[in-house]
Amino acid sequence: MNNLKINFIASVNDDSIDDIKSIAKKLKSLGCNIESILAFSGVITGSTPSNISLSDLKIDGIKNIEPDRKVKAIAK
Amino acid sequence: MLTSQEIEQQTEKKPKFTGKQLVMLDSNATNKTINTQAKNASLKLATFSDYKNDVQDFYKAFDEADGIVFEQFGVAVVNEQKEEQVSMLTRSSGSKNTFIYSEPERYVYALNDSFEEFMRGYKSAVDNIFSKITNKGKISSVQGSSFLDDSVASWGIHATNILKTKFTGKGVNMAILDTGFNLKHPDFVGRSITSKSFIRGQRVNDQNGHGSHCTGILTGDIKKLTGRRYGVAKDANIFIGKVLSNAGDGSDSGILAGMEWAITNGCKIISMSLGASVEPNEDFSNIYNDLAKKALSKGTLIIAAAGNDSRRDRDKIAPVNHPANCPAIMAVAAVDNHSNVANFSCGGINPNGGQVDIAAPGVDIYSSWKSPDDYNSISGTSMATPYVAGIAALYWEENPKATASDIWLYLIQNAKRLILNASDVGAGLVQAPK
Repeated sequence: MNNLKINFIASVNDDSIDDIKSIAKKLKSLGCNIESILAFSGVITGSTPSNISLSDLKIDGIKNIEPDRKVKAIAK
Repeated sequence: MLTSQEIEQQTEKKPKFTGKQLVMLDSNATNKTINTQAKNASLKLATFSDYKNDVQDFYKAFDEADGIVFEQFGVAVVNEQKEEQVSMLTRSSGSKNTFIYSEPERYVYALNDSFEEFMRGYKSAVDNIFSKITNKGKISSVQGSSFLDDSVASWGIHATNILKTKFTGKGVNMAILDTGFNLKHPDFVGRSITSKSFIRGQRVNDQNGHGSHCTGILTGDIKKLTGRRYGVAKDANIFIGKVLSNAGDGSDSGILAGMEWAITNGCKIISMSLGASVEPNEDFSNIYNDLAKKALSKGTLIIAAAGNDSRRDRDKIAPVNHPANCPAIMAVAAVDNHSNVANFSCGGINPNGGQVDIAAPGVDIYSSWKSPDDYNSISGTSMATPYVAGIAALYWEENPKATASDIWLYLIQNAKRLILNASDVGAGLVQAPK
């Protein structure tokens, strides 16, 4: 119950795309688990520990951060 | 109600042509050339810039000369009864490179709805109410727009004019992000297929069916056994990204990784028959929209399903799903074989983003399936999406230098307009290039 981590997707600012690896490193130092770094898209995916909210992760270089939504095949 | 006299007045025919002629001029021709050649054909033409001090005086040109040249537009307007002279100019070898072609000058009128248009709208509203109250008599939204499965092709292929186009998506890289693909499907032998699984512990081979079905519509050809056509871009290069598990589940992180893979592998089109329901008034994802905008600018068009959450027979219209609700992602609604919007098809009800852009066949659609069945008919905006994506490939083959935004435009421009709400079907029923 204390280990409710939140999976997130985060985008970096256009002018910070070259620094995406060091931004990911900073998130890691805040306690995040980094799942992947998408260099073209400028997106970092991962999860936060339970004591950090997504808004806390809006550090320098991060443009947007959103929960990692579940999606499904859209069929009837 | 209008009196019969009023009806008559409204439908009275207004004259169409003024009697003058518009002549297209070569944009590089000098005023001197134009005037000299016109003189040789016994035409005296004034130049608009001669009259620029008093705009009203330019009408004098039609009295003092035989017409006027608008240099900025490269067009000349020639007086009535000079057809012979104009014809000589556009046909003679000495002048036809300057005077390129002519057409009659039209009257233009302020656009008031004609009486016929008014009654058409009235009839459509009454038909709508009738079918809602009585729940019977599905009225075709456009006369003569019902289609059937037959031995030649599925109804969706007929409805989108695939059989009449010469384009097949040859040379176009297209990605499907879904539950994978039935890699041993008999109708895909010899096709170029690149694939990658983004689902931990699962291979690309589709054990759900959904991904195979969408791939079949997008880039299939015919059922080899019967020759029945069910696929659109039959010569395209296929990129299968398994971003949904065999149970049909996935997450944004997997989808985004699949999108990155497709874009960096040179895919011009990404077809995504997947999504998540959204609440009324919920905003679209900035992360997806920013990526889609970037992809568009770099030459990749992303197309996604609007979603199946509506129950229109119970007056419930649900908002367009994530990520199709992003403005930079083309959202596809589903229509049935009478060109009516499908009962389940989501609508553009959210005020910020979430618009339906276009519609395609999405009810009882025949296509490929997982092994061993290999074929199935199912419904959904999932089925409509690969029709649009496949047709995008056809436009790209027709226009190899087009940008992704150009292709978006061609799809919208050439869609068959339906007498339905744009919030339900966008620009209308997608059509293949002629």
